[in-house]
Amino acid sequence: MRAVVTKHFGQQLIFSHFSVEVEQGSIVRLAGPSGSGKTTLMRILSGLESNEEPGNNDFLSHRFAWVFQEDRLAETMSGYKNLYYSVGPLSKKSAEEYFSMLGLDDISKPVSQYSGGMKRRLALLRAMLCPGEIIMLDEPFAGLDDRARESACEFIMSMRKGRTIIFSGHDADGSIPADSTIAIQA
Amino acid sequence: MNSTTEKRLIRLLSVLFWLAVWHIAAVIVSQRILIVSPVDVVIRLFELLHQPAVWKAGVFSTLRIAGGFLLALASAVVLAMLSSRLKWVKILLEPLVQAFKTIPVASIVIVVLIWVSSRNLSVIISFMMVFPVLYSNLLSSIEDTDRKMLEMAEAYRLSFCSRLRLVYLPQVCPYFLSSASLALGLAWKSGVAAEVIGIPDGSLGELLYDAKVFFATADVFAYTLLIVILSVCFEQIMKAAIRYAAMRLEAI
Repeated sequence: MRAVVTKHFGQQLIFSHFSVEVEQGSIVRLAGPSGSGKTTLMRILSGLESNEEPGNNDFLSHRFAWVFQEDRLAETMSGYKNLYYSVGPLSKKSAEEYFSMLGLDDISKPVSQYSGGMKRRLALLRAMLCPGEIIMLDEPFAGLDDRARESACEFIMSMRKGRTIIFSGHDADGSIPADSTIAIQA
Repeated sequence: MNSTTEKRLIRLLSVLFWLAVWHIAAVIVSQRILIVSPVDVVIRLFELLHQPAVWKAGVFSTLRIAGGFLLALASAVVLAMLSSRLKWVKILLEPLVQAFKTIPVASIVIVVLIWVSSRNLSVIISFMMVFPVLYSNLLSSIEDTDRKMLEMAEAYRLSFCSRLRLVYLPQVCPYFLSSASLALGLAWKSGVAAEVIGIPDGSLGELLYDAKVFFATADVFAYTLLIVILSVCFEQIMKAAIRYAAMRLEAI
């Protein structure tokens, strides 16, 4: 999959003919300092942000699953309903199994009662259960302690099923074994 | 004592305070044609409730005001959804909504009386008073929906039903409930006011008008109390129905 990206925010040039090539089924890490445009690049690749070079993005023919920087969960709904309405029909029993794999307990508890780390794990669970062919993980382990990060990483690898993963994160997030790294300079 | 009980007690005490003020005022004035004590009002209401005509009038007015409210509710939901998607619908409706908001009830009543029979006056008036409140509140709550959640729905290619349940309902429902509560009060106030002006046969407005003509102040107060009771009951039923509908929509 290949994309060429050019992007301005107002007068500021973010990317100029930036070429991205990702092998299908690989794990790619986007590296770079804060503000370098990692999130913007992921958003452009998945079509959430416009590309000034239209027609130059092979990624758009695929379905995406996302973990955004914010968890983006329906706070008043239970974790189970959040999953059900995002990824499609899912039995309570399966949901309970997935929840326990990530150390989450009550599937019927409203998300507003979750801790920050629990919300993050639920957002991860949603992305991994979604039938997306490309999984975008933007700072997926933000707010998780070492142990939770390790189990989340194991979960991602076990649920990946040969799908492409593009993730951003700082050095500490290197626990997902990347096949290649795209370095972005500020 | 927990905070909920404490709040209820404070609310009850404030109601009792104003009832006491009312009672003392009635005792001081001591002229039943000017002011009737709350005890007398309740007694008179129980007397009136023995008359079948009062029950019939209650049903007559409730059905029409509820009809106007439900019509406004359905129109507001459909048109607010359309306006949030189609800008031309929003632009087209704007002058109408503004007109409904600003034209005095009395003027509308007079014009409507020229067009339709006074029997259905309260349906039209409650509709016209309630629609702009529900429509405007619904539209702004849809427009204020969390952009990030909408983007998530787009990224996950959620169906319309899933978007409705996961993104819109949790955000719109609280606003909708509070505006429905406000609109219900408005429906009763405007509906009864229209009936008092149009005097349709067998309505609460007609009874209220007759009581005024015959200086039956106790009856005026008693009918007013009856209208308040009907309004509160209807409000609670409608709120429960809306909550139930939202719960059913959210249910898996």
